[in-house]
Amino acid sequence: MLRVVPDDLDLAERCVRGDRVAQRQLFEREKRRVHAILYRLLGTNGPMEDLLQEAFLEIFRSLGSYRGEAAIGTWIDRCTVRVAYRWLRSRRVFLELAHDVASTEPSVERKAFAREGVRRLYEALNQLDAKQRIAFCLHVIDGMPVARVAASMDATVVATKVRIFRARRALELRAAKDPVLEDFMEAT
Amino acid sequence: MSDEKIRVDVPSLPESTWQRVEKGVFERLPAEVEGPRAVPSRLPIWIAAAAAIGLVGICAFVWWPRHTTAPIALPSPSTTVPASTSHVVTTDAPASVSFGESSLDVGPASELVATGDDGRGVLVVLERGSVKLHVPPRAGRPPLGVQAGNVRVQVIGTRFSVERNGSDVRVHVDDGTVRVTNGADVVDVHASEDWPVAPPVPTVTHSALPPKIDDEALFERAARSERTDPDGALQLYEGIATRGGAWAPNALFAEGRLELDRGHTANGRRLLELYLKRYPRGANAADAKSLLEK
Repeated sequence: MLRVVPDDLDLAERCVRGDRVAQRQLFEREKRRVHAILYRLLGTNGPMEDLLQEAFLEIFRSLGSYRGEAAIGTWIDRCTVRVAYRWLRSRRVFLELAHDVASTEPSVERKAFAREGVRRLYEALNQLDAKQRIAFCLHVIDGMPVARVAASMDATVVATKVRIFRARRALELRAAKDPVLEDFMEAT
Repeated sequence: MSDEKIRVDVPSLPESTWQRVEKGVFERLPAEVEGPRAVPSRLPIWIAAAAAIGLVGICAFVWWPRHTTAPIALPSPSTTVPASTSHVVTTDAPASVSFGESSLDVGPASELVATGDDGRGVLVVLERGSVKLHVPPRAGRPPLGVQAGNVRVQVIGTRFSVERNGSDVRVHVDDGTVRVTNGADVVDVHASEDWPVAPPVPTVTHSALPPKIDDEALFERAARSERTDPDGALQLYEGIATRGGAWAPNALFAEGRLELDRGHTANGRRLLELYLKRYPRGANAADAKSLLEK
């Protein structure tokens, strides 16, 4: 059950009224989370500057219809997912996009392994249907509970589970033919 | 891979990127948000409908006289603004505004939003231009703050000015002391001091060490520019590979792979063979072999 924080409604109302202080508060509070979601969905920081702007404009534009049924975080997730979905649908994703992957592993070898593993993971994700990819990334990579993924995608829990299952199966088939991807997925 | 999670670390964005994102959003935002918008409702529709009539009266009382969202026109050089939320925009001429007990001299071509009051504290958000503030001693009341981009200036009682031109922010203190916060850096700026402090003029000596080259950053740059500037990327990879540091193996492999991608098969194969010769057990050895077999 999602909890609505009263401050969220107040903040949303002030943003809708054009209160610049409130808008900046919301931007500062949520910017890192929006970035993390977008990055885990796309696997690259390449188009991030444009997408972050689009995501926040979408958030501010749509806050007028926020009814407070869910936490504002879920609302923001939903806007972010919409922006990512449009981008994934409208562009061919290039395989080299995942070069900017970060790793906290200390050695160069481990870094190279992680980099290559993530590159192959997103290469495999590029082959999936956009909705399957988003459901999988939000749940398996971002760690969101299935119910929240469903809320973010305006989908039922059952449909979301099916999307995650199908994405997972497609990746397993791919990993069976790709030892680097298989090792990476086992190691993480 | 039944139900386990996959770990993908999110590389942080440089502060300059965040500043551009913030600027882009808030430059485009006024036009997007202005105009009649539905105010979010936390109530079921039937309650909201019943309350609507009352709200009309409340809105007339609260919004109309105080001009909380529309920019305040400043016809005269000195205006007193009631303490609430105020949006001040100047064109060619400067203007003076009183906000609670504090006075703000707003420079020409400036825009700011001030919110709060003396009892709860005042926050001035400087969108662009400059503002000079005279803040009486707060005597235990909450401080006054100025937010200019990522920089926050907090004051107890003093006279100081803040200028903002995009992400370039400057603070000058006339009296007292203010605390400037910029990300993780917190600096106290005293009377007659400026922030940021002008960098000292570098002195060139014959014994100066050459600047340290950050191969990891160069590698990242090369990887990002492969599609837009492959020649530049190749040059960067070559430089890293030649220096022979920790990133040399990755750079040599990437150089070979990129050459193959570009259809320069002979050179690509030569580089990958060189990679395997130098680093037979390197992290990319299996990939290099696989590419050579194709």
